[in-house]
Amino acid sequence: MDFITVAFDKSIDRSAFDCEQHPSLNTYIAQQAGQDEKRNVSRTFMYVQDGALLGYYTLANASLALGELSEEQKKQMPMYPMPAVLLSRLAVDKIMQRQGLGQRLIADFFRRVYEVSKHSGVAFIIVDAKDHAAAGFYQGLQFVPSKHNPLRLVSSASTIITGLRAQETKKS
Amino acid sequence: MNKQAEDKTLSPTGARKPNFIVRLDDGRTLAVSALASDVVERHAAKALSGNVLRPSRSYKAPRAPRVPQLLSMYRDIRELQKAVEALALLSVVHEQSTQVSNTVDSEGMTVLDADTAFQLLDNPPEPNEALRNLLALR
Repeated sequence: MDFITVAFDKSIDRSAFDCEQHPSLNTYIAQQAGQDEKRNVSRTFMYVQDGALLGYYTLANASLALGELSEEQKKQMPMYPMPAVLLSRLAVDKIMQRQGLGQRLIADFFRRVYEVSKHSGVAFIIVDAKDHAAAGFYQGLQFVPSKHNPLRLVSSASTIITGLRAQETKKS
Repeated sequence: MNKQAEDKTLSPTGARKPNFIVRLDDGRTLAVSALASDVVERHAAKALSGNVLRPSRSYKAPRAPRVPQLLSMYRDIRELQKAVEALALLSVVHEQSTQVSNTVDSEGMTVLDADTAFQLLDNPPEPNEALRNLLALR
């Protein structure tokens, strides 16, 4: 798999990063991401051009619990939560916005999930949309809102894996 | 052995005094130890053997009440303010976590409708065109 991002690198200047709409995403990459890396809480991947940070996303393992199960479902489903990967943050610097970098970062994230799924079970992909417009975008990619939070959306990992496998087959 | 130890404690001179029982007019029975006064006396002597009755060797003038320094007062106030803020934050977090404890954990657990989850697990949809196009991006 070829990725457009590199693993978090603290030598890259993060203080100048500005995604404009959500200051918390600027603060996170400048101050918090390093700590989360160190503590193995999450992994951040950076899109860097000429030494400048232009975008990033953060992923972590997560769990998905099922809402009220019917008696029939209880017989079929394990009672423990389902494994998932969470895309908790995604941001693009203002100088790169509306040029498709956000979508490329999401595609990059999906490829990483695919790689993870080869080594560990991933049943679902969860994303945190920053606003309703972003939630609408994810719904266009077959994500469905979670039960209690419309800005947290879920997709079947199988759908993504099928799509990426098809690409691999096409290439070979 | 126990008896010896008991004797030593209660009667340092070795002279034992008997216990006796008194029957009161109302029918109650009272057990009285003849050693009771010895015990009380010994405890009182022990308590008073400290500094209470001993004359002090050097006279110390009573301390003047400490005048709080403005700087340390400000420091204390700042620390208290921090503590109050932390407590306020804690109570908000606790309130929020109580509200969502059965629904969504903001950083971890997500709840999905069981029927939807079943559908996604057992019959995952084929990627639509938008998703296929996105996956092709490099």
